Amino acid sequence: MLKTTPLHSRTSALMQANQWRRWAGYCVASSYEMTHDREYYAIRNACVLLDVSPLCKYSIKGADALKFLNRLVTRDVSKISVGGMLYTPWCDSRGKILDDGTIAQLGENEYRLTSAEPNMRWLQDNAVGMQVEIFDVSDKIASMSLQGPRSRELLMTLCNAPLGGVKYYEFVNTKIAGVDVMISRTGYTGDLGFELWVDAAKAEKVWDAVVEAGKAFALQPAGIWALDVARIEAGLIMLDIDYTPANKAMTDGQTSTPIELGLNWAISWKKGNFVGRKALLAEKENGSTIQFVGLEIDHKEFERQHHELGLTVPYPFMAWRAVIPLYVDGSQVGYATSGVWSPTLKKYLAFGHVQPKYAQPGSVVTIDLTVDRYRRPFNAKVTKLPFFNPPRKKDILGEK
Amino acid sequence: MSKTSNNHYDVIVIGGGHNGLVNAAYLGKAGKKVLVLEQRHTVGGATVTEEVYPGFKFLIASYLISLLRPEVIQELELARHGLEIMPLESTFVPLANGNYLADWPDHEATRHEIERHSKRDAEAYDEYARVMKRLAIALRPLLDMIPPDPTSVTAKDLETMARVRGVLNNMTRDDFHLLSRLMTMSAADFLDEWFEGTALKGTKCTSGIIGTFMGPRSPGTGYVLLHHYIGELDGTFRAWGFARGGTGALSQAIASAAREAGVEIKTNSPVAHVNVKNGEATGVTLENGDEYTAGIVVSNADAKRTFLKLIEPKHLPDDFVSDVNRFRIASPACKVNLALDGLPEFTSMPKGKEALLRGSIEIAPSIDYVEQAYDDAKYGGWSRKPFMDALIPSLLDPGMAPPGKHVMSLFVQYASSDLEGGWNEEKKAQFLDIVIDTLAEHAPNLKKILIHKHIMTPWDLERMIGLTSGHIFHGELALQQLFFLRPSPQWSNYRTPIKNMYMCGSSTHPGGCITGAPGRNAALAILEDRP
Amino acid sequence: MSTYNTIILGSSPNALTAACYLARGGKKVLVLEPSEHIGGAVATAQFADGFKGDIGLMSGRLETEIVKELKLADHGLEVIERKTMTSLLPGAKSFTLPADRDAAEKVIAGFSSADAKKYKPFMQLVDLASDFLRSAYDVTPPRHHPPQKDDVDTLSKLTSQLKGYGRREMTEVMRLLVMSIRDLMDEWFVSPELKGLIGSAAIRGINQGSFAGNTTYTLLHHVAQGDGFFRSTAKGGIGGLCQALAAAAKASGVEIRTKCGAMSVNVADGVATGVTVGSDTIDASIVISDYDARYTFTHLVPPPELEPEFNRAVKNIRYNGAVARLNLALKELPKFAGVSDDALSGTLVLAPSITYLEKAYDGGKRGDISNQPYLEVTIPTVGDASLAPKGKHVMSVWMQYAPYHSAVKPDHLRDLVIQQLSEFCPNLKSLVEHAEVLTPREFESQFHLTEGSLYGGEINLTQAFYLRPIPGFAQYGTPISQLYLCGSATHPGGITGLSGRNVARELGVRDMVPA
Ligand SMILES: Cc1cc2nc3c(=O)[nH]c(=O)nc-3n(C[C@H](O)[C@H](O)[C@H](O)COP(=O)(O)OP(=O)(O)OC[C@H]3O[C@@H](n4cnc5c(N)ncnc54)[C@H](O)[C@@H]3O)c2cc1C
Repeated sequence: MLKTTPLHSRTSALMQANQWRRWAGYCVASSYEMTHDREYYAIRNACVLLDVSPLCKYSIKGADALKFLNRLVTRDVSKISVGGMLYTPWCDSRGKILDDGTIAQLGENEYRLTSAEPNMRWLQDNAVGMQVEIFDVSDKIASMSLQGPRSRELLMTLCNAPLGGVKYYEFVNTKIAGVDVMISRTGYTGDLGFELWVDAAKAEKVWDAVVEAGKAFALQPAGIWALDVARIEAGLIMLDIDYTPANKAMTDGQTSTPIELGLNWAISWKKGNFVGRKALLAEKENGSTIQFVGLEIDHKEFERQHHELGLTVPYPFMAWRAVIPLYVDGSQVGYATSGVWSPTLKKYLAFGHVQPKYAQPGSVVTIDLTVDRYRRPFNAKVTKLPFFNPPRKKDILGEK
Repeated sequence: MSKTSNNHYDVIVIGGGHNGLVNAAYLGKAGKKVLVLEQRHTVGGATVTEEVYPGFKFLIASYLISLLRPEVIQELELARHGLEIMPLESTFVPLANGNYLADWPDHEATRHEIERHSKRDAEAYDEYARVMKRLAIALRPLLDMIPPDPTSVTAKDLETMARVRGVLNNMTRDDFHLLSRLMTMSAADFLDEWFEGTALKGTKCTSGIIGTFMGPRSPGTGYVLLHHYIGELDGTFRAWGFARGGTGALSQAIASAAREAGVEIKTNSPVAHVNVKNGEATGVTLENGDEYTAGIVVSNADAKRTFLKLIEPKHLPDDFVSDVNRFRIASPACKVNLALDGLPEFTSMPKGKEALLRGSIEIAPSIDYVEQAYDDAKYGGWSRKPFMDALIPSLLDPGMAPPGKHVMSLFVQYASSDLEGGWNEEKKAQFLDIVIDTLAEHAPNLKKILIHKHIMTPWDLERMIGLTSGHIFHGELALQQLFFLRPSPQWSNYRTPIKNMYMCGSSTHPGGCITGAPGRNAALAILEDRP
Repeated sequence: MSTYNTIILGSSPNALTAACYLARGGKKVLVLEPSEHIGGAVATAQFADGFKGDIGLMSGRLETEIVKELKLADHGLEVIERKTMTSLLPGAKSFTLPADRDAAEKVIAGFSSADAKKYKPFMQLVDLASDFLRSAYDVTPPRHHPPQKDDVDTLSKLTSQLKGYGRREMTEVMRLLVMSIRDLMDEWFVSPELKGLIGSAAIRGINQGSFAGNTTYTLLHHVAQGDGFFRSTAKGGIGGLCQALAAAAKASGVEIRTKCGAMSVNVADGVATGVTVGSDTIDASIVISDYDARYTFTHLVPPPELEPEFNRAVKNIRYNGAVARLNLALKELPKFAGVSDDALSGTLVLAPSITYLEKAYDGGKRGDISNQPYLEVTIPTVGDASLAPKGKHVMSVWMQYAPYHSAVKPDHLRDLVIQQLSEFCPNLKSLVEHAEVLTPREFESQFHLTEGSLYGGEINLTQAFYLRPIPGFAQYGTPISQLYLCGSATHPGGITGLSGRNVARELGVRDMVPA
């Protein structure tokens, strides 16, 4: 049987359409309503509340905690201080990505790492010879994500933390409805938003408070379908969809490196040795064989062909997750892994992996789409990521 | 000697085990006139279902299907001939402390279950499964190969050797190293590298010892572990499947395909010896004196039985006879079947998860438990607490028992084929009681619902099915008797030192289990020689 | 402070051999040894007033070629051969097998004519197989997969050697490598006592029983190293090997420093730059560790310098020390019932059957000491009076299984061994003036041998050739560039010096024989 999250009593009460899905063995909402339109629009125009408790969470403590993390991940964890967070991938010694997640510095020599997949064995095996304690706290901490332009206002009615001054990837500790909550300015939507980290046993209380206060801010509970649209607009990759973790790959060809995935910015070359550094350095010098890119599919032409046939135009507003070949002059130069119609940008977006010579913004590849039961080639233009990046994502309203 | 055309065939297959039948079916389809001679009243050999007790169908030997080559199912159209395999979905391992470990059909459910025992193992589990799968995929092409002779320089052998090298060279360096290690190490050492959970290692190590007279800590069991993983790949669903009607139904399906291909099958026809003239096999003589002649004689019986009982040594080179003599075949496996008046109630079975009864039930709570079971038996004794792999077939196929009643099948190790003082009825009964007592510790109502009990010891497997020492694989799956060394160096290609005489049973590559591979590969070898 | 081109940490025969050849190749070599005597566990030291005993291994020989190339005889090496093996049997019986095969056949005929007939053919097969191994031991294992040019050369040389034995023999040799010693003995012999005596070489030094697969490999390994059935040692004890090597090394300009203090390897950016000894930093362009892989990569190099996959592989190495050693100072030469005085210059073995050996291991695998142990006994003073005060003797005992993970109490172990031997030598207890007991724990704490493994990692097929000491690192290099391994931990393992010579070759020394 699937496990339920600490918020299941609340999410199931809200569920109208019986649209559940599994996420890491937990039962979570795909969409509470019959379609995810309103949930999506609320991400970009009001605010939504998502239950993201299935994330794996690890507490990392000890004199060598920083040394350990800096050896584990590609980014320089010494750049954050207490109250700071960062996003980072991590790799095996071949530089192949294993997982990605966030690290928050909770105190001196104390951090919390989140990941999509269980990582206990890898973490322990990286800690050999270091003074560090690692605990799996996944079941102890519930997490909910409050995302959207009104999320900050909403939260400010619930706590007296100086949220206006909390910068992107910072967090504060405060109380909501009498419960200790850690609020971080993070999320998976590329919008203004926060994640709330709470003792699992008290999570319902916080959820209720947010929902109650949310009535004034058009708060909408949202599921994974809406999130999936937003994360593609925001240019955010997803494990198992846009990359296969190296320890799950059956062949080397299925693996990816952070460089291939466009995460060069998340690699710190100067911090000293970390797992995979040698291999990544070599890749940096010799070049990659494949490159992650944003694609804009020529939806105008797609529309035109439908009109020509007297058909209504389909808008793929449900994100697809599939491996679809990309071509140049009839030969395959890569593949796409996710795609969706962006209601905000009014564009058909996709993530592609192409040979580096086609990875420059502006270059054009083709992708086959189905028009009236037949596959036809359409142009897809390489575009800089993120597709959508509103200033409010990172703005601040004053001092912390 | 009556050499009427009635008694002459292109091919005679001695033994109607599943491999003999597969062999006959392929040869029949190739246009040969084939006769299968089976000593028992029914075909199937170790792949049979029998109504030992009225109304209850017992799996007196093999019980699950995993490694059956998909080629055999397709090429012989076994589905059309009645074969239906359903997946066995779960594993349930009752533990002494009232806890349990389960393996569910769903990957995430299994992950959560393993997490209950160890967070670390939950992560390792996936990677382990993937690595084993990768190695199994890499090795799979070897199963369908007629093994080459590495000492030979014929074009054919050189080409096959090149193919073997190709198989290995296709692997990554890391995988090749891992394979090299796994082949030579013990299942226990290998599992220790991956896992910390006692119960998880206990249940996983059993794949390394099934049918072999080694403990999980013996080097060599790593290979057996991998051998059993190869089956994980081809089933439509997953690892192990149950054939409707039991494994005997598979034999019946193959027999039906064979008959359709014109094969004649005679049961109750034990062969007394193979007739050899001037180094050539010319036919066989039955125990009742009947003679049949043929251009080709194939033996489905194991190598020892074939070359030490059915053929006079004078027809064989000394080296070969000594190879057959030294072929290791001591066996530790027994089979128990129980007729039950209800379902066993396991004290550690979690409420609401009784579906676990439909899967494997394994009494293998730890490597130490299994190792101790081996130690008890290795000097000619039996386990005081045996390892058991149980199944309740009647939950998968209600036709196996009368309505409301059940059949339970137990594969049990270890009880030595070379029992000190030898086996007899009394000792059989004693060991059967040990098995039932051990199981009843986990399912206390067992004795109350017991209607009938039945055991096949190595002694019985030999007497009834003709398995030398009762060995379930026709000879140990030890490295020194695998691939081009099975059953003997230079004679691993299904051919024998006697002209026109071939082998098609589990003593040949790729060894035991219900695979059909020896039968099929032998047919290919025969057709190479006599197109 | 002078600078060195090469620093070797540790001073086993392999380290000293490497030092000799490297010096010969023009390198300036420094050998560092933290303890007071060289050799690590291959040493002979005073354990009681006037009594000297071998500390770890009690037999072994250097590769013949090395002895010649380094002219070790000129540096004091005197080999002592043990020409007989005496099997101690229940009921205070025994038989003595001489090295001479014709004579041995006669002895065996005394209890089994079938076995007598098979003895020579068996030894010939063992000769072939060990000859093959010996060739494999003389080369650096293949590096690439699939094999590249240099690997193909290595492999095809070995394959043609194998093929040269003949078709039947080729497959026989291949089978041998993977067989359990029980299976092999059952194939050849019928008498339990012969099977036990010969088979015991297959479990020597490992924590595996005689029923276990691949144990024949371990036997062949010992034979290929000249330390199979009829053993040898050096004048002055096993430590004599190291003394001769050290003399040769010094003569070619190698500096050897004992009692050097704690050591660690300095690493910058993944490159070894030298070592820290005590409070000194000594730079060098090449650092070679004679220690086993686990010790090297947890104590000499901090694990965080290494990739986690590599650390996992280090963790997976099987060490499993299971040998305890006793040195007994004896008042006078003991008498063994039925054993001739001549035979006392050979090896006495308590391994009456294959089953006996497996039973001894049944405790061993669970971390218990064997109550009926496998024993090997020598009285080195019979051939070398320098090891004890006049008229007195030293008895050296090798005992299995005393696994590392067991709680071995030295006194208990001593009593157990003396009691076992008293069946054959009833007054042994009264002869003992002093006893030294060394268990895997001591080997670890005194000589940094992980889990007390005397071979730097169990000698088994899973840890042989391109898998030794760590798959992917069988060519003496390590993930830290300029850091190498040269000890028994590496291919082929053992104390013949071949590892050391192979390393020198890897490091560019071409002329093994001086011009
Ligand atoms: C207790 C037990 C449990 C097993 N469990 C499984 C399992 O769950 N899954 C799995 O895949 N495998 C299992 N196996 C192994 C598998 O059943 C065998 O490896 C396989 O069935 C062997 O098939 P075969 O055709 O090679 O030989 P056999 O089935 O042994 O066939 C040989 C045939 O030759 C006949 N014969 C012998 N001598 C003569 C003669 N002189 N004249 C005429 N006929 C003769 C015999 O009667 C027999 O029918 C099990 C085996 C046993 C014994």
